[in-house]
Amino acid sequence: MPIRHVDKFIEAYLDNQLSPKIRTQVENHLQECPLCTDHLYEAKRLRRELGPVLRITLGQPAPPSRLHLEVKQALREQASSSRFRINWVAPVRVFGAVGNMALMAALAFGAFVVIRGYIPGVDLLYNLPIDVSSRVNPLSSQLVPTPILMIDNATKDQNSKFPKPGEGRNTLGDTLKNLPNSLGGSAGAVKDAPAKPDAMTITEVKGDSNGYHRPMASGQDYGTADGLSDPALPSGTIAYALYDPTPGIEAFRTYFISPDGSNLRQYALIDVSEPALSPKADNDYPLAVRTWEEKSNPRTILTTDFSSRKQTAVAKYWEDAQADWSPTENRIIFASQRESDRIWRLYTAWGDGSREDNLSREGQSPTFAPDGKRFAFESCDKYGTSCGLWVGHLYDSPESGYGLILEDRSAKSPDWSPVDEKIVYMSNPHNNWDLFMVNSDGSNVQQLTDDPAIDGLPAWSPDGDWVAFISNRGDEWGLWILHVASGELHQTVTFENGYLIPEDRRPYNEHGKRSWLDEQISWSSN
Amino acid sequence: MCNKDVNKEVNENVIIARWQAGDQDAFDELYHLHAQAIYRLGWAMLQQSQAAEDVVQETFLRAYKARHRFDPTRASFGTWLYQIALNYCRSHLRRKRLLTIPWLRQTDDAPDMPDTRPGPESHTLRGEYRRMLWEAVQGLSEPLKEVVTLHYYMELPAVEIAVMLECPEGTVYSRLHNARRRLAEMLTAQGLTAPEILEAQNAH
Repeated sequence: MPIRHVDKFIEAYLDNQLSPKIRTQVENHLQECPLCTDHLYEAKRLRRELGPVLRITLGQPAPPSRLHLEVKQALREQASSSRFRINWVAPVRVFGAVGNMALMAALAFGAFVVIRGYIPGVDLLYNLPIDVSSRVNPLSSQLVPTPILMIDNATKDQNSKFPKPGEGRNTLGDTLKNLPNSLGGSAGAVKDAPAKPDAMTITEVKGDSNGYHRPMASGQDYGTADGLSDPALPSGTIAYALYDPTPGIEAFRTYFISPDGSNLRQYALIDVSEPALSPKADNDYPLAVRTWEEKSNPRTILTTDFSSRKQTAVAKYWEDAQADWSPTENRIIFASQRESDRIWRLYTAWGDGSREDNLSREGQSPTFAPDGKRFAFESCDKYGTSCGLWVGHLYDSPESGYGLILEDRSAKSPDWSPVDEKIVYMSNPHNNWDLFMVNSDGSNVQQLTDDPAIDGLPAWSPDGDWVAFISNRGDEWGLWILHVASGELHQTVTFENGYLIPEDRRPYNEHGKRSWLDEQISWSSN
Repeated sequence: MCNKDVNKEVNENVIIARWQAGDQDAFDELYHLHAQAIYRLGWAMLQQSQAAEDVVQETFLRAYKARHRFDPTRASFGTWLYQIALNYCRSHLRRKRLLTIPWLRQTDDAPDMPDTRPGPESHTLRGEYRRMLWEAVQGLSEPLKEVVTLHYYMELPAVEIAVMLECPEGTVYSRLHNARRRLAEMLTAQGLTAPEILEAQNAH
């Protein structure tokens, strides 16, 4: 008698859904087990008594007949708006064109125009009230290895030793010296231009049509020996999450910021982290986040718009994590410890929650290639001996389609460039986290940072020229951006009222501690 | 809902193919086939007629957007559609819960006020008893409420619910069993039994 008690089969038995073999075994067991027989009768009674009553509880609610026409109308509107893409694109384009004309005019008059990104839906976001008075962090003794990060509103921090754009470094004189010759006739006017930074006209304009403003100076001018070179800061939005330990809140908050440190905003949903911004401009739900709220259903990965008014659960389990968007489809790739063995495995899901696929592969921190088919991730071989970065293909079998490209047990948080074959990652070969870069075939490993401070969680800029990362340089945790070709560094923001990861984050402690290495940041042009 | 009828199924496949190609008439047919069920789902999950209407509209919008990803080998069209509807209900509920966090309440986005109406009038059960049972169902935890809704209000078999919830059939069975037990307990706590309610219904 292989079956002991048959409780778990009783309901299926009553529904006649058991295979003949198991059915016979259940029936045999029921004959000799009064306890199970009692349970069977109890289940039968509940079904018999509650079923008919429950069925009529709801009554007969029916949709009003006008709804049919309303849905039809909404479908028509949806179809027509998708023909013109989404509606903020048009004004942005106009804005961009006006901006370019203004730029040319400004150059002719020798004035400088600071170009900064325009974020769709800015008006829907909350302006962040940040309490700068609470600078002292009571837990600052726990800096390593769980960093306590502090966040700061760049506009308020006038004493920062890292100059903000427009104050000092990015002076008119510096910028004008770096104007490429191709800008032609304006060069003569440049020399006569008023050379005071405070005289410059600062205008917010949109960059080129893909929403990204390329630096005004050309590549070879970066980092020249005279130290005057300073590429214009990139645009777009960087998203990151910090844990707010304030009693009563004790939750993650997700922030958006422009790379130059301006425009800091907080995402409206509290207790979400691991943000991933979609690189696709036409994505209705451009942000994927992991939700932490306890006892909620679903507690998993959501896709949402910046205002949080629209949300869809795209995954199924609270262990689902580390989403990264496909650059080509409305689809995310993510890692999860959802199986009972708590091994990280890879999955993909559609951004509207309509479907999920198991990639049948162990791994963590997946990141899509620009083609939206290949992806890189951290993993080990089945013996656990060769660990490092791997590259796989969505449509290959687990056996044939995956390859170890870099053997480095400490390689973490890979991010695949949105434009080429470069993968940036963090590693600590000498017990100090720094940033590295490797080609997707495993060639050409380069160390990008070499600082005694911790550098980690890299994310490429949309143009593949810059990398954003987290660092505690200067003993202050913050968000930095690095121009890869020149090594030019800027601090975007200093963290002031939150940690990157709390040490005792409960949802994670059910199956092991959460580490700051599990968090992620994201940068998109939107 | 659950189409056992082969002819009906073939017919529906033709309609779906036309709908995927953008045929308006096909949409009308699919709407007539499924809108009622989706509305019931929305009503049972969100207890509000306006919210239930939103569920219907949003489900068809999302389905249309994702129409090329409907995979008939994986689930029936109805199951797929109800899955979208259920996901929408879940995110709606989730949003409502988040908005009850005091920190967020100061935003301009006020939470929906829950509608405690027991549902449209029905002459089959005395209003008072039905309200009690309805409230008991609404008092169940969300996973249990979901299976009760899908099984009793939408009359889906456990097998199909398992496909929809993407969980083993055993899980659906045990949730249904737990839900019935919880409901019986709640009724007992009110001094009622299910047979009494049925009796009251018959006497009416």
